[in-house]
Amino acid sequence: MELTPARATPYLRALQAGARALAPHDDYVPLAATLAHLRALDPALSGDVLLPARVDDRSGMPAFGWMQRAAAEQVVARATPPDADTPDEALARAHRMDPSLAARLSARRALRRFLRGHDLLPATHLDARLRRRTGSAWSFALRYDRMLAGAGWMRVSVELEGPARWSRGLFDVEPDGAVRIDPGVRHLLARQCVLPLTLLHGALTDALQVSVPRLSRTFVGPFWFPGGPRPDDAPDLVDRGLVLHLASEVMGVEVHTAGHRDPWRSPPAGEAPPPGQQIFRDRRFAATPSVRAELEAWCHARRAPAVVAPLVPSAG
Amino acid sequence: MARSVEIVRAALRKPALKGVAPSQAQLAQEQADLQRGHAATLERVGELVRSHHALSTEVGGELSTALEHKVALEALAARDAETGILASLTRALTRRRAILERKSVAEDLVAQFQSVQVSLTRASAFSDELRLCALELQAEVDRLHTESARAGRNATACAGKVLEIDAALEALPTLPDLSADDRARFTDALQFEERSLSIALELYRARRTLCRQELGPTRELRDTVLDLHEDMARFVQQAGAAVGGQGHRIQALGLAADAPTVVAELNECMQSMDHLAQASQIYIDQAQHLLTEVLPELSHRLGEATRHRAVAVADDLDELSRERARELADRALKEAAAAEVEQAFATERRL
Repeated sequence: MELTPARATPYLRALQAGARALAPHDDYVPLAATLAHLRALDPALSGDVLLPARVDDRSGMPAFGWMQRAAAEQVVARATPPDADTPDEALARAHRMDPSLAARLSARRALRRFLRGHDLLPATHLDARLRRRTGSAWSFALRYDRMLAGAGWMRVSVELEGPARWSRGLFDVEPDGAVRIDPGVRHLLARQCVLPLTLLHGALTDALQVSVPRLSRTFVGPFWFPGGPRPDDAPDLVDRGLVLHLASEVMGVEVHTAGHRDPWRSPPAGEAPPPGQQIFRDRRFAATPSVRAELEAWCHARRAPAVVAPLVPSAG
Repeated sequence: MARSVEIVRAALRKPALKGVAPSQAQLAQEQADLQRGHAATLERVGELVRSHHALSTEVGGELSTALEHKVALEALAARDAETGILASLTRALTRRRAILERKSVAEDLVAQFQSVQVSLTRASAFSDELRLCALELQAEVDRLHTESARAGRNATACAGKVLEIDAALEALPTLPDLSADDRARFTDALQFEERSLSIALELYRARRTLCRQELGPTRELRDTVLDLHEDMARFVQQAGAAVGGQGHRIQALGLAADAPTVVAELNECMQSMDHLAQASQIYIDQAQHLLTEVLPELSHRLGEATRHRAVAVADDLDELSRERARELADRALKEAAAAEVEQAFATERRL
């Protein structure tokens, strides 16, 4: 679906407010980049440069193409020196001759200035760091971020442990501490990232010949709003307020007690975590005051009580 | 006597002119400025054409690279379709190595989609730059028209006054009640005014000629930039819509890019990219034509025009005789009349 420019600004500000209210931690895609990306898309900053404002038909999150236009503009902005931006005199001339062109040039300049100083959410990105080295055992932490159609913004976090010889060629630690990753690992995660957690665990251990003591997958989204996509199994309150989801599933040796605190999605049938590991799932929400109490009651009724964070969009 | 003085004073009354009459030096300066402006604009248009060519080639290249993934997709589909025992055995034996070697088609497609999007973003900004340049050239065309019309009106006013003064000079010896001293004084004043106005008339005509000479090349530059802008804007719009649509499908389908049915669907995505790449090739050819033929030709013609251009200002304005002044005034009035008739015809044609 496509939002009118007038509707795009309140939509984006509501999403920002929701993300701020939920304050996602490091298992989620980074909050600063999330907020910056949403700010870049806002026609109040970027005018019509990044329009049309399309929303994903299933998740209600900004569509991939819309998000990518901001990312592409950032690539161009960072490759262009600031003094090559449209100068004031050219803007003044353009304003006299064609105010709409002047508005676009001005918006593009403001957007590029903003994008030079802020990181955005990547469409897909993998990074790795060495967590620790104990004797001959190496432990790496991977983070794979991806914009996922129909779901939102996903981060898969993986902790891997194995002997030093195992990591050679797959993860090479550079003298400055950076980790060079075999591209095959990125492709593997890209192909398997949406498998059920236990199967993803199996695919990783099988392909990398390594133990995976912790694996998590999180989502920012979906976003329910009146007039937006409405899943069949969503509560009726969707038509009366704004609701942003923050969903997480963690499997690992650190999870001592299995739990399912997701009022919307059931766990896969017959799920069997590896020995010594448990799975904990939860889904948190930020919602506008008009539906908060009702949403909390809905969560409670579905045996997944949750504190719903207040989503109060800012006017400015 | 009062009536005679009144006749002389009426002849000496200044004509209603818009702006200050240009000096010869100013006119030469204006001409030099216009030529410098043309050289700068031509250079700017040249840069725009070169950027246009580079960008269209870049977009074409990106699309061609994107299409390489189509081949990868076909290979993937073919391999998944292998069902023989040997194929199954081979897959099992090399599975672990193959897992890491196997590319995620979606991952590569997303990366390629991003590259195309970056090129389109550049093209979109460039399209606005072209629009601004075209608007500025149109403003210059408009200014030249306004200047030319104003110079024409001023020349007509000067010409009328020159003829009025000439008539007063003719009548002066026969005017009653004037002393010899008065007659001499009025003759000097009228002659001085006639010569001044003749000079102004000549300069206004020269300015009008200059403006008209500049109009053609400026209009051609404007049209070249307009063509570039129209081409680029159309291409960006079409390509943006096509690529945007495919981006969503690639992202959505790429999740399960190993499934043969999805591979088939992804292949469909690439078909429409294929059409876009073909359209892009035509566009690149047009850009090449602009760069190698249109721009050098325009540059050549502008250079020629500058070399042959000479402002029709009399070499020695101080030597203007009464006869020459009358001749100039007559010519200016005839030109004004011809311009009016031409305008009337133009209006009639529009109707």
